[in-house]
Amino acid sequence: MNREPNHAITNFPVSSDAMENINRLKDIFRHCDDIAYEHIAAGPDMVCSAWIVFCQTLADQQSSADILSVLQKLEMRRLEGETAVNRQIIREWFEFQGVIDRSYFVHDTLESVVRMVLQGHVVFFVDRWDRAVSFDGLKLETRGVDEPSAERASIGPREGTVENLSMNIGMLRLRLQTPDFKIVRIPFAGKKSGKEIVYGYLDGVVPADVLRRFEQRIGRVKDREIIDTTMIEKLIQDSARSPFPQCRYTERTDAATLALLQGKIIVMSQGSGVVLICPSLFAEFLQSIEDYYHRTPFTILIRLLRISAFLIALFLPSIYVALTTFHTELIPTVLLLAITNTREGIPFPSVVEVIIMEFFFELLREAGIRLPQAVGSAVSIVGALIIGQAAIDSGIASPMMVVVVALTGIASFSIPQYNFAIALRMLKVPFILLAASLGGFGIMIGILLLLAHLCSLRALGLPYFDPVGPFRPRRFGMLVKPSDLAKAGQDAA
Amino acid sequence: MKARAALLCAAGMALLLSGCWSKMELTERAFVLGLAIDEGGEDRLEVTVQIYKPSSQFGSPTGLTQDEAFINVTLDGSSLSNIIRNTKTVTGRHSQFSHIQIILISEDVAKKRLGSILDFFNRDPEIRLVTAVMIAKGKARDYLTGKSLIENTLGSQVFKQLDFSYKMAGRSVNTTLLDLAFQLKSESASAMLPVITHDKKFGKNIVHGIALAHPDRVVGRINPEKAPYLLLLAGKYKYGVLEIPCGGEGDLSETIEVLESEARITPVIEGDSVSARIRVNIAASVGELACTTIRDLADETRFADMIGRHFKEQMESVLAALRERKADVLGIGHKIYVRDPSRWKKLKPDWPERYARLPIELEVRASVLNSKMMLPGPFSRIDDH
Repeated sequence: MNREPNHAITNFPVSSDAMENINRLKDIFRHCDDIAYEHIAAGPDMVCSAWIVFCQTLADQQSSADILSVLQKLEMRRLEGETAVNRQIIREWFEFQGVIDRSYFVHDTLESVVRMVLQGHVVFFVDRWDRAVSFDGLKLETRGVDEPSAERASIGPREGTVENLSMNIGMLRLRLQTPDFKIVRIPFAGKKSGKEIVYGYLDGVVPADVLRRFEQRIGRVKDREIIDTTMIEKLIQDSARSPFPQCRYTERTDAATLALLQGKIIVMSQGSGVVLICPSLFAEFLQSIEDYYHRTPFTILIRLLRISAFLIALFLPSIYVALTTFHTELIPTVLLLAITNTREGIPFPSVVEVIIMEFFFELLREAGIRLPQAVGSAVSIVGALIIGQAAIDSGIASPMMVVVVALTGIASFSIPQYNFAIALRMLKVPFILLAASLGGFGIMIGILLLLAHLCSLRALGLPYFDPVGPFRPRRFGMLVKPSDLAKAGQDAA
Repeated sequence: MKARAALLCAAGMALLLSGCWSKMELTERAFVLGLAIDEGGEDRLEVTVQIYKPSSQFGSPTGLTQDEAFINVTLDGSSLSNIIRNTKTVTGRHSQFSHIQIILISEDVAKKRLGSILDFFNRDPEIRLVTAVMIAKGKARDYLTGKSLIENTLGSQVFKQLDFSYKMAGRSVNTTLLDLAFQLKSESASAMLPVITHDKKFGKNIVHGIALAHPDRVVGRINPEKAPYLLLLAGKYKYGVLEIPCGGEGDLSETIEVLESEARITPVIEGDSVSARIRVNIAASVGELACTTIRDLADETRFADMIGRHFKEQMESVLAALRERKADVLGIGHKIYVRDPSRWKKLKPDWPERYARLPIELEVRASVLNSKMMLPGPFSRIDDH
């Protein structure tokens, strides 16, 4: 069934005949049975009549009562002035006096009326006036503020974002009470999804060219369908082919605040608790908000631990393959003998063995994510205990390999940013193949290419691998130390 | 675009065409942990290779008696490299020499062709230069057969014994291929090697004693009793317990522990005559005393002097033995070369003969640290008997 597309008819101006508007809307919203149309009239001879249009599933039923009282007030005024209600009076009434105790919007096209209805506004048309009035009647339930399960911290606030955008902005406002904290709205991104997207930054802290570049790119959001904030990453990232993410995410309001203070731009959207932080550099993916809550010596140790976790997650399997197939001389004798004992009787070369085990591991990880929580733990038990032990007993894998793969997995879990850990998971395999074909030399070639890539990568124009990329040894401290927030405050002032 | 492709091509070639590698799984390699070289009669060699035998975890059910963790392969032939290559045909795996713990060379072979054996090991890229070399009394192979005491393989067992004999007991010297290269290639061209012997009384292998090599073969041995004094002279004594006989009838002796020692060798060149001065400082602590009582500082000083005298006597006999064998293991010749290369050029041709007659002035200073027995006084009452 080919129908006339809706946008052709939404282009009409609001007519002064309420009935005509309603008929048009009914046509636009055909087969949308959750749209309610109510006619109300007030005054002694019901002369003051109006139509209310709203989406029952979004807006509050209470609204029609409100409107009735509005109309009654209008009627009162008519009685005072003893003149008939005409366009002039109604316009003045709404535009200058303010009738309802909520903020309202006046519309003159049916297109914006349709939009508002779909955003949960209650729209009403007063007869004999060529404008429509709407106010927010959204009554959607939102989740309570809770600690985000993906980003737990041992210490610090337990406040996480929710799916309600204005609530999220409010929580951030409370944490950054300065007019420098700018929140810019992009009202209707996407043609169908019609999402409200905002981006925020601290004026004076964020570098001007980064902001300029960001604004150029975020403009593209208008012609995309956006379901979640995470989809915006694809619009603003510099390199889509790089395995390394150039944006990071948080669901913690304190982490978002920290990012703002560090001169980052945050992006949020209605209906999602995810806060996108950009530009994000290599060093920042190894930090966690907790680093700022602990004492510095401990933070430094934790950061060093994370850096070694990064190296383990990326290189351990390939180094193991290289050592056991090419560079046995490098293994201390006693360890070597232990490894030869475990390898004896394994039918596969160690590359095949490592790839099998990594594949098992990734499979278990994927299964664990998808399954409901209760079953998920069963998978991990089956995976870790039963399959692991059985793989060893049946001679598919050596215990040493299980240690290597498990350690690699644990190391990738200890990286605070999930999307960064994904990059390591992806890069691990080419490194294993390089190690299997060329040994340590192959790993060196891989590192060379990786470094070349990291040094040339940029995030919104900033060098991604700073301070290693542009070699700035004085700034090496930022790899392990929490950055100095006092400075950010000064810049802002 | 063309330039870019060319650049990529060049980079790829630079990366991929350089280097060499040997890809081999662990299960294709046989790790050699010990090597014994014996005489096979008629200029032939008998080489025994001790190979670690991995015990597969899927193998014998637990509870059964475990086999030895190694196998020995003995082959003979006229050249070392050929024999070693042939071990593959016996074991079916590539013999990997990188983790070899010890190279045992029987005294008979070492007396004839130590030099050519060392040349082979220095040329072979797989063997580490820090591998220990040892001279075996009798058949070298015997020391790698039998059951190992504690370690997995006899190769590692012998190596551990050597290590402790040198570091903790001061009965022998740990000499690696690299040390040998340095010593034999120095101007003195003499080296010290550890010796392993079989003790018939207790049926155990013991690492003690030092063999002397000059210039490319073993020329003699310093027996285990004298070995510590040679080490003290060479400044290589780490730590150990020494006995000083009381004299008189009976086997009584004093025991001291050497905590620190230092030796300084100075060649003295005056005109045509060459001599050497050796100064040895020893700091010892008292172990058991069988015929002396230390009650005060004077006693201690007397005791220290007594030690010094005894040490000097022993060292002098060692020096005599060294000179007799013309083995300049203390490196006096090299020291002269370092100090005065042009004079060394003249001295060098007849240095061994000159060394045999070289006057050496020896000075030994011993001091006793923590005799611990002045307050409240020792238990023993030797003087009162």
